[in-house]
Amino acid sequence: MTADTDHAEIESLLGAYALDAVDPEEAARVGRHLETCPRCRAEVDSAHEVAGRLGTSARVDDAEPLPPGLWDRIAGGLGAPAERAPGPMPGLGGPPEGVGRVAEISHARTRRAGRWASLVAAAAAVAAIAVLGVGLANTSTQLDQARRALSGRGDTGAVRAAMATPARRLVRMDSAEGAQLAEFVVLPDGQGYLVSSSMPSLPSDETYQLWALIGGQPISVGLLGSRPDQAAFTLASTSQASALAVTVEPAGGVTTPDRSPVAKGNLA
Amino acid sequence: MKVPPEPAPGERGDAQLVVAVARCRQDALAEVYRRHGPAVFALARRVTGDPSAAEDVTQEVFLKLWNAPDRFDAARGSLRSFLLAQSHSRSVDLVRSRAARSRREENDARATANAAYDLEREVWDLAVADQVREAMATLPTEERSAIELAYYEGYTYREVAAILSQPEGTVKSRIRSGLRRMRGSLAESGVRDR
Repeated sequence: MTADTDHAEIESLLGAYALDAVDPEEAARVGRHLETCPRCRAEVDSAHEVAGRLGTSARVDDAEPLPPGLWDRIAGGLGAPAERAPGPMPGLGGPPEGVGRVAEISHARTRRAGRWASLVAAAAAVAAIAVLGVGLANTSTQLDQARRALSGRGDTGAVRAAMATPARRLVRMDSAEGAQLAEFVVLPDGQGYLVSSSMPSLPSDETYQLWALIGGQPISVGLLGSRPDQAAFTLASTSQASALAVTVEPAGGVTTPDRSPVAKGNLA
Repeated sequence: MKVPPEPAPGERGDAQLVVAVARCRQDALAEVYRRHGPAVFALARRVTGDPSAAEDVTQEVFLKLWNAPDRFDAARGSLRSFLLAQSHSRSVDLVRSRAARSRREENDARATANAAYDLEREVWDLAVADQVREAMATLPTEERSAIELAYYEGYTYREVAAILSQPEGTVKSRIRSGLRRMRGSLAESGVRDR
């Protein structure tokens, strides 16, 4: 086979290759070819874009939410690659990118709005912004892993540093009866930490879950585990979140809160 | 079928997110998950037909992004397509190894597919984005069926050829020409990712 016919043969496979519809031997052949042929590479990239649209069309949107707890499984397996140092997140934190998505999330949650609306009755309607929830799996089984993953962010040093930051805000979390159950500190950039907690330990099949109230809608920020002692999280723009709330949920958490909060605190 | 177009605004945000992921920002990964996790999961479930397998695939896709974020090259395409391509590839692997285990008979597949393969049911029961639906509608039926069987059902082009009783070479080129045609009509209708 000459180089030309070989190239033609490879080319004819590009569409099927982009859809993973070739045999393993063919996939290997095409893969090798792509390393040296920008033109074929571009065609496959382009076909992947089209396939991506097909993939999006398979989505069944709000009717089929992500399985609860899946994010926590993912977050629990992250660890912290040693060769990569934690650093600041560039240019993130709110409009314009996040707006559409959170609006969608909010929309999906309007069912629950009634029960939660009273929490933020005083808060004026605010534009939806992105909340970067950190799945901070502080459950007993994942505690060590979570601590590793959060090196320098969830430890007491970081909390002390946060407490010493002039523009920090303290959020006192009270029960419905007005007893203080926990305290968070939130920095101007949205980084937040659990400072103290007197929330009672939960059975191992339950977890505390932290929510931010944005425009009257609860948006999950992350899980605090069954015995919260330390936690770090990020709100993309604290000025837009009016309150924090904590619920008790099944281990793994939920995407929309079913139960009334056990503790809440105003951010404003 | 040239280079990918200029990224839409959301894609620029995605590229920033990946930079943040590369700096071990777990909250950036969480945002990627929030944006694209539903599509990654839905596609895996569609292909595997198995929600718990789809969870495994989704977890793998996001762990891979966490561990090797530099494998995403914004110059080559959108993050969503990148993640969906991986979701698809892993899902297809699962379906094929499952098929190998159960010795899925080609004849069975052909008989079932011929009897049950219903374009209307298979495709239109999905919440298909309008422009994608329109782009699909512009395809000749043969191209459309070949692409759907390969993409949504995870068949190889050889299997598709057997199912549709068509020559392998024909199916191969129909998949390719169909994708190129869709690319054209999506570009025309100005569809951007997300």
